[in-house]
Amino acid sequence: MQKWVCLSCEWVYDPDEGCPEDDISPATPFEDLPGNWTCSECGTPKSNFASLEVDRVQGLARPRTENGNTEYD
Amino acid sequence: MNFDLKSHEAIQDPYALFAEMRETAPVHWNPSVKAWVVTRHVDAKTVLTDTRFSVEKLNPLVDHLSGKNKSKVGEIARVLGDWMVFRDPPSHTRLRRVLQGAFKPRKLRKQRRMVERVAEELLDTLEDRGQIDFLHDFAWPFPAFVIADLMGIDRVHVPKLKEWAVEIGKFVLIARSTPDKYDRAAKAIREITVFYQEVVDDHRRNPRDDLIGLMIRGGDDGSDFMSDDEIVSTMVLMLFAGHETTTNLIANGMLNLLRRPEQMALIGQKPALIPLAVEEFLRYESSVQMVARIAVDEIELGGETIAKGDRVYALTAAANRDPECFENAEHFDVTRSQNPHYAFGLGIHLCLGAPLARIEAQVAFAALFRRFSDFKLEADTVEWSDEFVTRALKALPISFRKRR
Repeated sequence: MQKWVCLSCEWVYDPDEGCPEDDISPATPFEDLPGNWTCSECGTPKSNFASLEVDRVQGLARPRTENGNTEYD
Repeated sequence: MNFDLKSHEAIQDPYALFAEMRETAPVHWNPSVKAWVVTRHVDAKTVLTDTRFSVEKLNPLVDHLSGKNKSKVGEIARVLGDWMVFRDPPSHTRLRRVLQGAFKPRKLRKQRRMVERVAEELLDTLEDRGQIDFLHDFAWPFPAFVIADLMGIDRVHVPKLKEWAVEIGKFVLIARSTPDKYDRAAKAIREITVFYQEVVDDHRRNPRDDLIGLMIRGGDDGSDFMSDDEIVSTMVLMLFAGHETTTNLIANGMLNLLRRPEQMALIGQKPALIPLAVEEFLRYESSVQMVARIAVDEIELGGETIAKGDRVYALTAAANRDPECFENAEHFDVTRSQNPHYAFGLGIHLCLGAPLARIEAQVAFAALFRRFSDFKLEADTVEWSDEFVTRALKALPISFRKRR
């Protein structure tokens, strides 16, 4: 499943593992996380994550947001 | 190139200078601060994450000085040198691990109710006034009371702690026009150390489940021993890093909303935007404008060669407006959803208190918008404090109306 990276601290959400700390069970896709879920490390909002599938430009993950746009297009 | 980062003009409004530096000299030796200055997002990331940039910069400063200043700064460095922000691994790892669990978002969610209570209590005292200095009446005491409560320190001590923090800040934040800053910081360090040692002693006699208790226990699993010197030093750091920066986050956020009524109205109509708005406050007018490092090797960056031992300033506030990274970077937009700012740094020194600062700012603005309306700036201009490391207002006079 698709991994997502926090754009604030670069912590990676891996759906295969879920996030036991936040009572998110394994095999939970990022899209199914609650809207008010925040980064497990730094607390930034869910919207400040980006999919890891896309290329990295200047060392920064720049990829698809939940609505399918690329981050800085 | 002559970019004077310490000029009065740059302190009052640094962003045009930041843009010029990003475009014409993104990495350059800057005589005004005697350091390499790095302004682009991509290069700032390198400085923040590459282990060849060390945070152990106090000893080189002491070595560089001579005479009376050397002994005074040496005295300050002995205490501040135990701050995890001035330590590289492995000691950084140990000191951070003790407190890390307590500042995780999951743990802090349990403290949210306490943070909300502090905000409500303060606003209770302000609601009938209609006109306040937002900085001193709310943005300052709110995070001070929160951190005091978390540390288990009686709030009556907060004003004195604030005085000491200001004096230490003159050293840490590189005050531009305080010629006796070393004397004042050294005196404050002596006094605050005595005060905090008494607090630690009291916690040893009467164990409590707060942040000081956690440090005394050596972390959640008791495996990371901290000496009393390290505990006291970390308490100084927590007050220093956990208070003023959040004060400025809240005050700077309010200022930018006051200057843009249409953005203020967006939040008023849709309070669910507050978490995004807080990220934009952090990006657009960062409380901490830069981070300092020492190159421990010769490093190529942005086409320049940084020599071993050179001081390097990553101007994260400039990186946060880099158009290569942010669409409409100079535009303040509370609906911006993708916001990879460096207001809290990045890498192993990412601000430990970031989750707490976010909660405090979110709680503050949620309470403010729920209880009040018609916020207005009651001054033609605002003045910024005489520091270039932080972005701190001197005052923020506002008016508002109580909602019925």
